[in-house]
Amino acid sequence: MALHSSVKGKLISVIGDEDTCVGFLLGGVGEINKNRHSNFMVVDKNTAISEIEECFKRFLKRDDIDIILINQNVAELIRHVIDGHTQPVPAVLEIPSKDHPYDASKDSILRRARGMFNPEDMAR
Amino acid sequence: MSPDLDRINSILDKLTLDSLTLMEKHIQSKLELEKCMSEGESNLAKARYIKGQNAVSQLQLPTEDSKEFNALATVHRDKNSKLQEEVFDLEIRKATNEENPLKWFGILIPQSMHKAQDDYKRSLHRVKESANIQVQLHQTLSTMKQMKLLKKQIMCKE
Repeated sequence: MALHSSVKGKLISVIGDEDTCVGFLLGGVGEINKNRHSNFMVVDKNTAISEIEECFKRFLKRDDIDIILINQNVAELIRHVIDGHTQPVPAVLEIPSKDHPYDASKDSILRRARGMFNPEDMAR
Repeated sequence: MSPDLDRINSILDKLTLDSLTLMEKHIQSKLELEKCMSEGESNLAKARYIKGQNAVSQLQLPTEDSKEFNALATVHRDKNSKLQEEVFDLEIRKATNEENPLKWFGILIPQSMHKAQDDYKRSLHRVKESANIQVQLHQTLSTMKQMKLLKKQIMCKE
């Protein structure tokens, strides 16, 4: 691995259930910056979809975040916003959670990739 | 068939194969991430069994009223000499006792919490790999899209 100690790296943010947030924060991704903004959001059954959407958009706008981790079941709730993000960075990674195993058929990037393989386009 | 169209078709063939390989790698990396995370989750569950249900929960996480602190795990974007494109590199800084997230959960920390921390640190490496594959796949798909447009234009002219 390259030496980076002189340059401040970019953050990994997390939007997910309690275990996902507790786990990745234990791993060291959490940060509270000088403006008192955190880079994580715990989603539970009482969290409104509009709150998740707002938080996701806020993370997209922050230039100190390069990777956004989001539980796939949470991503399903704001699929239209995730599909609207077409830039490679910040990379939005859909990750599994305790109760929802990873489902490749729901992943935004894979759905976009599958869309490229329609038979009409493939025909020469 | 014009030579231009022929060249575009062979590039498209290569890009299609690349994207299929990347899709497979992407799914594989997500499954590996799932495995690391589920090991972490079971260690968190063991810690909850020892310390109590609410002793390992979001209640212990810092809030926006907490003291300011920096992330220990960050990513850097480096130019990969082989691929000629930027890739993510993970840096996990060594935490001082004060900085270690384990201290949010009290003084007597069960061994399973330490294990969970290691599992999630390993998960972060999988996250980095997965993000790199995703960015590569994204770039391949964008190039494919451009090539298809170009092909359409040439075919319309002919």
